[in-house]
Amino acid sequence: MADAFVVETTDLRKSYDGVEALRGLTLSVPAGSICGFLGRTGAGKTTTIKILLGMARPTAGRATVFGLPADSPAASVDIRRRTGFVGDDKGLYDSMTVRGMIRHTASFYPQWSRELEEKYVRRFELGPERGIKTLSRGMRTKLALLLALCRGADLLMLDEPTTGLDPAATEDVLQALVGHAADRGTTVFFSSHQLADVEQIADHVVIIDRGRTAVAGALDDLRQNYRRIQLVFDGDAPAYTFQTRGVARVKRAGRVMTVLSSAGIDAVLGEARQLNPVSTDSTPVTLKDIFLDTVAVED
Amino acid sequence: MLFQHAFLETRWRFLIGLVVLPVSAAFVALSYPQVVALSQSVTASPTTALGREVAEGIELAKTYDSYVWSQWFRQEGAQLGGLFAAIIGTGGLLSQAAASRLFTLSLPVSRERLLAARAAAGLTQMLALTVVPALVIVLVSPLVSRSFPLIDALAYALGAFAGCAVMFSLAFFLSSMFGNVWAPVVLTMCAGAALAALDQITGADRFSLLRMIHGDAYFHGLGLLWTMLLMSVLASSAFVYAGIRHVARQDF
Repeated sequence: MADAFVVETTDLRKSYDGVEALRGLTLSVPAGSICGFLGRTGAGKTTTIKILLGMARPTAGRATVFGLPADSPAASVDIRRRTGFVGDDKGLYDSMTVRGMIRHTASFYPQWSRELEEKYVRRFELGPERGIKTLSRGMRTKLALLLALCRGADLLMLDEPTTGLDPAATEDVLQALVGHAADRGTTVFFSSHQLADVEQIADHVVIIDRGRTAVAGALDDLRQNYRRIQLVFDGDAPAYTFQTRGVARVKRAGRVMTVLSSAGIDAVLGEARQLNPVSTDSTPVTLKDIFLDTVAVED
Repeated sequence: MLFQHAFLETRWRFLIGLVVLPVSAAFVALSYPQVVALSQSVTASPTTALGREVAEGIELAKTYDSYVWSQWFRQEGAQLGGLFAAIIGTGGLLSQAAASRLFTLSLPVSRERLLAARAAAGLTQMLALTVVPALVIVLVSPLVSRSFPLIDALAYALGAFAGCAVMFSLAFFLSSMFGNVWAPVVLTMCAGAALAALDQITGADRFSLLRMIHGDAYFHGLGLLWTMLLMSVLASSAFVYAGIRHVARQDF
């Protein structure tokens, strides 16, 4: 039976020389989903991906990919065999040509698809004899993506795949990803700063803040359930701690209290009425609103 | 493919060595007539250290075999071999650019296999760098109307390889601790210099790594130092193993 979740972490912690990069990260990526992994710079996205691929070991907690423990060196080889990875820096071997890089990578994957290789070489207009070091950032990204897509991976793990790309190249990369995932049922787990990219292709989202999961779920559910509720009072907004489940954040500014609810508006409004606001209003929120509200630095 | 990639990573260092060492070895062999002529016109005074050195050189130049041994296997070949062992041994995962390192680590291969392939490729290169110059000497000797026994050349090359393998493995191990490529080279050469100084002070004989590289015992008719060869193999294996274990435990 196929696993319901391809990637799972439970209370994952990682410290580097006493600095905590992850502080109890718990997340799960459903099989077949395209999951955007969002967070500020330094939130722990790259560390998480490195742990999942066996490049770093967790200080505590558990991480599995395909049900295999990511911190086991032997299992990690199996995980990497089934995973396509594109790193933040699009790391490739500068001394090789495009063709050499493709042949080198293909040799590690018995399920390498020559058909897909030819398709993406044409689509991305990658000159096979070009040296890697002569490629632009966009072309390097496309080559790195080709190397990830052609290996017959069940999971694509991409760290900031569109950073530094122009809009046309970004679109090209995202379309290739979505098309591939749709054709083959591949799970995609990608970190990004680009909220627009995530909104465009992701069906699931994990927002990480300072090493912990801040928000996670299906994007449609988040859009449907998250609401911003604005309460206006006669005087200063009262300092109040909501008991209702799903209150993600409360902000006060003068007479206005803004509540971000992840569980709709009814329960929050019910509790808020006890505070006697003079007016209430609720509005749907965008992913950007959710992101900014959940990862905003506390004053 | 891992072996091939590891081989390609150090190909330029290896190719430079593959030019420099055989050319130097050929130069040593082809210079013999000039050295003989020069040694006949020089009289050394054995009362000074320099004089004793010159006298020893003149004595060794009396036969082609002893000249080739002293000039190539004991001096230039050993020094160049040690230098290239350190240069080829340095590098690897830690000194790779961070981005390409992550790509390497994302391949479905254990770190142990990655590093073992690199060690195997480097040792293969070192074998070529010790054997090829020895063969070149055998091949060019007839050009100066001399001959150098193939068996002797291979025996010297074997000792040189075993010793250089230790230097290579030390550099390999140090590369698992330093992110830059020069620190392991410098430290390995310092270790070689320290061993040479220790030999001078203690007058080490049969259990000297450098004397094994030089082929001292073989030249003096004592055959190959099998104990030292075995100890070198063990030392090399220990350094390579320690380097692999060290990298296997690291976070990237």
